[in-house]
Amino acid sequence: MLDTLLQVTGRAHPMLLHLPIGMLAALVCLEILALARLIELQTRIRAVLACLVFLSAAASVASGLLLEREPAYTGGTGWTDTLSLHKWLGIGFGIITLLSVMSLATARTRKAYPLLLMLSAAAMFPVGHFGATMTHGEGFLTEPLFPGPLAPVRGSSSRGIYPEQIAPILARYCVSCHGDSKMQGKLALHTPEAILAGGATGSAIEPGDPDNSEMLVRMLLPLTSRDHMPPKVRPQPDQATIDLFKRWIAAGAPFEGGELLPTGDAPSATPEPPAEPPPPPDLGSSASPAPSSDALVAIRARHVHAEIIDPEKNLLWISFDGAAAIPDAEMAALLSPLAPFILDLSLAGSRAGPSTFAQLPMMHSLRRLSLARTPTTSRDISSISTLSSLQELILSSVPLDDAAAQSLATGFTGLSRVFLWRSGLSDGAFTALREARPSLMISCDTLPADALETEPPPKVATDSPP
Amino acid sequence: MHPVEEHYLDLTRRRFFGTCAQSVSGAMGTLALASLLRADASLATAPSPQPSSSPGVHFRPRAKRVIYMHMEGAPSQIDLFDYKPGLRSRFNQDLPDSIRQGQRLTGMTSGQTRFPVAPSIFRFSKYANNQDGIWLSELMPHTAALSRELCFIHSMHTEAINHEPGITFFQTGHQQPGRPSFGSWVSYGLGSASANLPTFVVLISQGFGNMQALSARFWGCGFLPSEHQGCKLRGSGDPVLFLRDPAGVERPDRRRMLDLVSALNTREMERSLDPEIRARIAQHEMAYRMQTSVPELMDLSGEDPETLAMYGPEVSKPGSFASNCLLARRLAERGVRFIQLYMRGWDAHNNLPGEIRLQSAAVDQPQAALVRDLKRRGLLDDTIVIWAGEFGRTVYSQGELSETNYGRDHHPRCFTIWMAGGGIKPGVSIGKTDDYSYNILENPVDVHDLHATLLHLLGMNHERLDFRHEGRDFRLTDVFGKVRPELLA
Repeated sequence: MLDTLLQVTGRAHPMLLHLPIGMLAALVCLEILALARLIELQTRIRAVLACLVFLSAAASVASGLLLEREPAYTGGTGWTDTLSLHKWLGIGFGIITLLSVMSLATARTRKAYPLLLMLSAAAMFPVGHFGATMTHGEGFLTEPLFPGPLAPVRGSSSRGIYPEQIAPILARYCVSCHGDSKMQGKLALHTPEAILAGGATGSAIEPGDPDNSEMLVRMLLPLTSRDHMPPKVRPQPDQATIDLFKRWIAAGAPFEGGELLPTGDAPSATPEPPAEPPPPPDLGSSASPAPSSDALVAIRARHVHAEIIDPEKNLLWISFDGAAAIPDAEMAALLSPLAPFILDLSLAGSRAGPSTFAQLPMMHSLRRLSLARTPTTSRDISSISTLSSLQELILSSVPLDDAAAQSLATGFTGLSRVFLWRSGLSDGAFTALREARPSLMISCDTLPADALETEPPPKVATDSPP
Repeated sequence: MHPVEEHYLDLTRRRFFGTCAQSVSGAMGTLALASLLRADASLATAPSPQPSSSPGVHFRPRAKRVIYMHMEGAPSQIDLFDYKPGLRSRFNQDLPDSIRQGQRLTGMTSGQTRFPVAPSIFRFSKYANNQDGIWLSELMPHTAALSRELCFIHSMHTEAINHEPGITFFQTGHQQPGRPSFGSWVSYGLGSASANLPTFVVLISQGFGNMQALSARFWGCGFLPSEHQGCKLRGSGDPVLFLRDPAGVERPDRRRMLDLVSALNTREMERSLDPEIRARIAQHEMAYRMQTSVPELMDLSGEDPETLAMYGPEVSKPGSFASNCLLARRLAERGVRFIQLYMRGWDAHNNLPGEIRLQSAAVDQPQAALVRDLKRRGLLDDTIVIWAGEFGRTVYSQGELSETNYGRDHHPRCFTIWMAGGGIKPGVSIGKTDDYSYNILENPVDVHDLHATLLHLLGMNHERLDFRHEGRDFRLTDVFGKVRPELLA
């Protein structure tokens, strides 16, 4: 009964410990304000607050010592491990707060009070830091600043199952608590030697025998179990990762060499290849796939017009006409998830560049594309000449050279109409293009051959007034 | 706003029960409710193609926007497009009763003792088109040069005989005022394609002939939510009133003020579910963005001299038809769905030859330049250009007829309009009138058919584009209208 009560008290430690922190912070703030003569801090109030800081610190220390008795915390290997550091610094902090209170008792000792208060405030940070390291793991605070593997476990250039597939799993899910700086349960998993050495409850793995390997058994326990690993507040490996780990143990847990196990799911230090774009919509099926609503919301939020203009096949008209200032890379990111659904795309006047052009060949449904008034180059035109669905291409006011005419003549197999007004093509290029593709309608205001737009049709007959 | 929340906001009591009744075989109210809720849940994952206020296209459109040039006052088809060489020999003869057939007349000519035939004094020429050519008068040489691009309908007819009901009928599909304008229907049906400019913009040019009143209700939205009404850009001074912030009000101040007003309005909208409040919030935001987008629109410094020259010498004069044609192209480039140009001054009851010369000179070069400019920029393919008055003019002279002067009264039975681009069949003339350009012989096209066909080109079934108001589903075409395949490319 008493044990249970003590255990509960111990487990109140993560709650109690915040009291001295808050009250000390309040006291320090008040002292600073008093120092700046913004308020008047009466000695009585100062004493009450200092007392409260001490009492709550004492309660935290006591509960912490009770918590330490729990099996999960029996991992201390010396005074340098995280738990010991936290414990002794915490006790020290408690003592300093007591001294601060005592210093207020007489006028003579009161001179030491500011120093003691500063000391206790300073001591609070390392105590809190090591405590947090135990609950949240090594590097929790700085993790977002340095993305990448949490712990350096991989041999620099070694190959094989362990360095390439297993060590990254351990680094990602285990080593922050079972590693060099923190060996909870006396277990470390950052080196082959440490893994084989096991922890407080014995061996971590039994090579060749997954069913009796403690690590795997704990990974497979239900998430609600006290013994489940990794702790349920921490990131959990997915089933494929656990399977991979199991096959490694079954294979005798080799630390050197070995054929890579067949899976693509293992986390790896190399960035994952970008996801394949969704397949083009199946035009035959009754329920056509639809563009992602998130992608539509995102592109519309940038004032790009995105409208479904083929409700049967869920195909889109997208126009950057009202959003000329979006940078190239962002345009590409906005277009990428929608690519297979785009029927009609106007980039007129936009900042389309290499990133955007890289997206265009994936637009299998694209029928109409306007690049008017963009800095499109002949190379860009050549890079999208595989677009066989394209029927209409608008290149008005695009500074091209004759190489573009070559792409138009040989690529774009489905093209029926191209707009080349002010595209900078030479007369020779036009002639060559007309010869290469006689059925292609070339619209260009300045071309003498395009009689309709350049000269009035001949007057066939004239009728005079009476 | 999140689409699901927006959907709930629109879920009025009447629509809620309406959906319940429709969904599952009547009686099973709870089942219906379940399906309704499921539809809501799927909204979160399925794409919401349009904001809930715009139903969106019904099928793949041929055109995305409309430039509608309305010739207010009704230009004379006989002097511009409807070539009647036989009339020359009938100068000053009385109009046969077999042609007039007891047609009612306006109060302006009903008192006349005789109706002398007035042939056009203007010279016509034949221009090659995609049929066997078309005869057009010397009044519009630039437009005639585009004969391969234009679709002339010689057989338009209307029910109205006076300007107000005539324009109202053309613009709203109904002679009595109060229905939404064509542009508003398009705005409602398709939604905006421009974040920074209104969906429906109106530009007005003053004419040189006899002008009639031009009411703002021609571009009103009737019972549709008020964000769909046409926004008139003024021809002189600031194109939009209060475009500039008052002295002492900085841009961030304006933003903070709008944020606060919008927060208050949103609270009221969530309480009352009144869609007009949402329209007001949207309009405040639009007005804020127009403070920068309209000056950019009106700034012609980026236009090259060749293009400016193509629109003619009046292009730099704000409010001129040339200037408005250029603005129409700039609006089209910026995603405005419906651009309506009004040219006033075609109501030539007397002195028609003098007036129509001035009127034609003002519109010919700019309108031809607009079509050509759209074409070379690749915009004509998905832009419908319409040029139409509200009716035609009579073959007989109003007032005194001489060798050089005459007038013409209103004539609703036949008149000519032209269209271009956006899936319209290019280079053809549709319909035929009798020798007096008085009655239609072939292919009559009424206003409802025109509306139905234009909506069809924009991807909408005119029978499905409706709006429930006071217990009735209203349509632009009311209970009429047929899509006319002979107009389609």
